[in-house]
Amino acid sequence: MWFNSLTFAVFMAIVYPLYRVLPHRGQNVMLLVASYVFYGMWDWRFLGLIIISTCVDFFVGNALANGRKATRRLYLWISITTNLGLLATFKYFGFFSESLQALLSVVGFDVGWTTIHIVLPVGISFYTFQTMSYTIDIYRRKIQPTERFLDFSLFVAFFPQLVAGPIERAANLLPQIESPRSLSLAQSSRGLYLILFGLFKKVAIADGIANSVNTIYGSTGSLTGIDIILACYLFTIQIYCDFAGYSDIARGISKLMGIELMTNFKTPYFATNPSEVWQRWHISLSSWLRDYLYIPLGGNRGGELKTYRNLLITMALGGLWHGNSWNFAFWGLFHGGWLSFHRLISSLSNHRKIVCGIRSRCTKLLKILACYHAWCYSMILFRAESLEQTITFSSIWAYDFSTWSTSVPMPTFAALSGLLLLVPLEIAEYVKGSPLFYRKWPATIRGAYYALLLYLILMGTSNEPVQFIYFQF
Amino acid sequence: MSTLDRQDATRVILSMVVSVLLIDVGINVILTDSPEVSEGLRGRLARYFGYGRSIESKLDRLIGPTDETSAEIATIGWLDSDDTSTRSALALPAKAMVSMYGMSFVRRIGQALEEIDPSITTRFIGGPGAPANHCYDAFLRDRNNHQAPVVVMGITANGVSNTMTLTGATWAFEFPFPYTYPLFRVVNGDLDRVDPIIETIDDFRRARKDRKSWTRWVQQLAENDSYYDPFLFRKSIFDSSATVRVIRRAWAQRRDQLALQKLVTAKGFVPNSPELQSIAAICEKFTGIARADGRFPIIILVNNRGFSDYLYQALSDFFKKTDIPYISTHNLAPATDPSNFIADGHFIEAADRAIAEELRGRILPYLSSEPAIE
Repeated sequence: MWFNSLTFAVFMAIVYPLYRVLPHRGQNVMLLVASYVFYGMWDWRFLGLIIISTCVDFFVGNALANGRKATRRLYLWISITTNLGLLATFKYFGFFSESLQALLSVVGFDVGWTTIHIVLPVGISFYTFQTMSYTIDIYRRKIQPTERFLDFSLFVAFFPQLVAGPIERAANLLPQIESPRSLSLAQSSRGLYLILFGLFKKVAIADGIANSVNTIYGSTGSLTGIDIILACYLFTIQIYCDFAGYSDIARGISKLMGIELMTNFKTPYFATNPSEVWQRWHISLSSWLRDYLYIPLGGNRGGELKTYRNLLITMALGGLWHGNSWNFAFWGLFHGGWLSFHRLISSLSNHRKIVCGIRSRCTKLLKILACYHAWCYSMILFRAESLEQTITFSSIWAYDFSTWSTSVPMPTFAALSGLLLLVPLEIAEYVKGSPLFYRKWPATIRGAYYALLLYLILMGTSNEPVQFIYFQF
Repeated sequence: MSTLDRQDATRVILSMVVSVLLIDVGINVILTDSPEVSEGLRGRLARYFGYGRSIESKLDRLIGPTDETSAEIATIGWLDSDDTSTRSALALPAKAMVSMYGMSFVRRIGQALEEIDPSITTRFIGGPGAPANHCYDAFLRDRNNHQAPVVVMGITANGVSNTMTLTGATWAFEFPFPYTYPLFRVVNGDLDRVDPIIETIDDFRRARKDRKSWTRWVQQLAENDSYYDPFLFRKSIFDSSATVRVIRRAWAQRRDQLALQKLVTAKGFVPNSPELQSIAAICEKFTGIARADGRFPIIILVNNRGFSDYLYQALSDFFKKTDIPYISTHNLAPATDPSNFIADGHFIEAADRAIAEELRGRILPYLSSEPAIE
């Protein structure tokens, strides 16, 4: 069930009125049932995996709170092994099996076993990371476990963020589930705005660009350098509008229920360096990787070389989190390398004053552009169908500057019009430093602005609907 | 909720409603969808916001009282037509003649064939985006009109979903083609035929003026045409609203998506759908009749953009089993290579020539044989 589908509109038309009339405990029961229905509509068999993850982490959480030091470590490993085991089985089994097979064949062993292709349960990477953070935080004595199984089940399965995040922390979401929630007009209006804005990004822009990108990446024939460069730019726009759009809708729906989810994107294409990129892009994942992987690995505490090593490991695993292919691992390594390089350059410039101290707007703009283009290039690794395609694309744009293949469909009119509106909005948010900048506008202007968003969504509904990209992770 | 908040919310909602109305009126005033503003950005935008008009409304704009006052596209594809644009080279000598039935893809391949081998003459009957039923009926009606020893029928992958229809007006929502054709469906192993009530453009004009006749036609579409949708087809006062037009266009998009989802998966066409059954039966009949007439039949499977080699996958085994001669474009101009296509979705000239070369190789032995019909 996609957020941008009629089925979801009907689902919400049932869930939301019920939510508004039920008392707090009833709301939680109803939301849990609704969340399981929401998830089960993809494939009800995978509900079992959520329930396994929920049961194990609930009982481990409570055991951790009361256990001795030795047993606590054991309980933590049970939780981590279960969650990573689910991930390894359902997401990475085929990948590891095929990679091992390929490796063995290189050294002369033709094992010839048959790879089992397991269907990837939607959102498995999101909810396993979310539940793992719960047990790890209890282990670290940062939070106390909940005693209510139903509340914990809802924390794991809360439908707005179940399949594509944000990856919530128990410290933020669980107390909101456990306590009665109130709803202010400001929260409701902000929630509605986020839904509108998220749909605008997804339906009008991302879906209107998808066909152009898919044609180029799905091509088996010859492409020009211009095709590839354009596909790079378009894909960065598509994935931002698709994923940030999803996060906005998830946050908007939650706000309508009085629940605040974390912000997942903060104008990421205005970052001036890779470190800032990851403070602005998919924040819930990058902060998870920082807190539960990078820092436990030693972070930046063991000298520069170890820091670089930790960055590379963290980002490579972060890349693999996205998908079971070497492309994602290399994408992660690219970012690990980029972060390390930036760290090295920054330390050199700090100590030796290599870089001129002038912080002009022009310098900042150049940094933003450079950073954005490095990101664009990395997204070839992210989107390419194979490593070979990445290599081909990387080589073509270096020498082939013939014209754009006219048969590659142009983005739709809705997408192009949407971009004309989105770009100044993103600039305004960046310059004002707040996503709430539009609230200072007079009511009539705000109304006209919402009407424009609504109209662009309506125009965008003529785009071919495309599944949210992050559902596959 | 404070009174201030409530007032603010009311103002925002009112402003939103008024703005939507203003946008609607503004589009209608600034972007009048008429022939006078057909060029430039304004014309393109006007067409964009006109796509969502109802089919009846668009047909009324296309078809005037005479052919001269009608858009050219509206006069093409009618199967009884003597229009030279759809029937060419009728009177040419038979020796190296190829008679082709299909759509623009086939027409272009025919033109490429003539360029490659000037000794070959092609004649073509077709309609824009014509599905297999149109091609087959064109072939049947044309049997006694020519002496060509080779007959060619084209089937496009994107036309498969249009097989259970009676007119190009229903499935081509944005640019409806009014031409009609019979519907063929497999019933108890045989091809059942449903003829459209409207068969000529003059029938169409008469029916449009006569409420009863038009209602009968719409009723026939509602009962038989898988693409008929009253919200998309019927003209109403809401055609004047740009907002409704935008919504209607989205509705059409969803309808097309749903129709395709039933027929196509990521791996190819769903086997044994009524559409594919009908196409397979049409091809078998076409081949059988052509052979009985002493002609060499051949089918071109046009695997066009967005469909990879799905049509080839869906029909090649059946063709081999039933000995139906065919060529498929999938290995000559793969649909997964965008450089094989021009912007409007047709093959580039080089691809047309490659397909024509392949076709020539297959038909050459039969072109010198004596035709059965003199």
